[in-house]
Amino acid sequence: MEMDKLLSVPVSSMVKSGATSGDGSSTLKLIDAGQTFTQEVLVGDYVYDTTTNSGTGGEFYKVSAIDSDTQLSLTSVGPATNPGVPSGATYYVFSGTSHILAAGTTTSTSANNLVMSSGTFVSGLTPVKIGDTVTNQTDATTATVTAVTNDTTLALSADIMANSELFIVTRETTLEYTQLLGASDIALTENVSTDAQNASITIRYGNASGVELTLQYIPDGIFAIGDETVRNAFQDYVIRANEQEWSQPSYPWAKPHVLNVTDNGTTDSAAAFALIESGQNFTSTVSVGNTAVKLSTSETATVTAVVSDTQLTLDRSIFVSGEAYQILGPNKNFLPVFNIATSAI
Amino acid sequence: MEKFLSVPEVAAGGNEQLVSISDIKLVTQASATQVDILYGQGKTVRLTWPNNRGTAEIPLAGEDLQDAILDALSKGWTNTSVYYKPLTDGYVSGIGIS
Repeated sequence: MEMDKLLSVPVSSMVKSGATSGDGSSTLKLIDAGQTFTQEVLVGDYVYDTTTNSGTGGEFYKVSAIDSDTQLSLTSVGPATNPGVPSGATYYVFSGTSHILAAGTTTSTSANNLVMSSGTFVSGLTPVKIGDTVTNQTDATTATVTAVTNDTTLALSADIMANSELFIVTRETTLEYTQLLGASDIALTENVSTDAQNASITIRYGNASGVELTLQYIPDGIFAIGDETVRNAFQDYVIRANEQEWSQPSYPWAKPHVLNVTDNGTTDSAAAFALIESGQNFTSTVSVGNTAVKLSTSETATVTAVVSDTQLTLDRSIFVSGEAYQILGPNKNFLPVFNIATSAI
Repeated sequence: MEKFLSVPEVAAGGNEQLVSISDIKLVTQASATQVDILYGQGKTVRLTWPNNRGTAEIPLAGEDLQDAILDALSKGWTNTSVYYKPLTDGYVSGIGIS
């Protein structure tokens, strides 16, 4: 008996799109005269320039500052060192680690309240909840929502809003939705060979006239062209989905992470519960709690002490002299999906 | 194993149309009122809501339909057809295939 299996994939929502009106290509900027970025984009959001180097996957950035309504400061993301967005480029902004629920200008003054007569704080597509953060953009103060009174009024933890002041209401989670993706009848999954940004994989299904899907993700933390972290994660999820009982038709996609390699090398001496290599700088690169990986066998041990620049103490004896290793810090880069479709954006 | 959602079309309590939930490869909210189901053979079934139910980026209708698909697929093989009440409206205004 064949049962369909699916993956439940969280997809980061697009919060903005447009075409640049100014040249930010030598200053790591994005300039668009027609926008109100201060009320629509947050630091940590991702920018995808689909025009520049479009033949090899475009260019990716992370927003490092909201300079004004019309200008963003950027940092390059992905294997290439991207210089900024030139004039006339089509771009998309995807939700990062926080998102804006509501924005606007207050229409009256009310002690410890935020009032906007045209608000949709309850009935909007992204309703406000207790605990969300209000930022007064006119005087740069913040407060927490203590009650959602109605569509037009929020009660706040501090009296920060007066009439005619700009505000945003934010939540520290990614704005994302779940999309079902077929995990049965898969013929082959592969990195897109022309994509120098390593930001997409193709999923080919087995039927002769079947579909081919492209899954695109932000390559945040990927530094090598040809990195197959997401392709490998996808394959792993497909296997897990198909190993489930028939009554569990979907398997949850967890954002794949990029290994945070803080140091690497080859041991040149040995001692019990130790990793030793002369010429290293472990006191600068390694912390207690990091993971030491013996690359020949993938065995791991936890660093319990940084003895010196050349020696670590581990909770297991897994190293002899002459063995290649990596030291891994806490995972810090995750690879959010932003599009699954029959064609890339 | 074949599975279907039984979806009321045109009006609440109106005729129900069977929509296959076998061999699904992707579910996408194409617009504020339209949700597409893409099948392995390349065909797409589009359900159209009579009123706006989210957007492509906040796909309230799409996620509601996906929940119904997963619920139906988790039922035993003797439950071939499972009734689906579309989000808020209780019916869809159109079902088509391309």
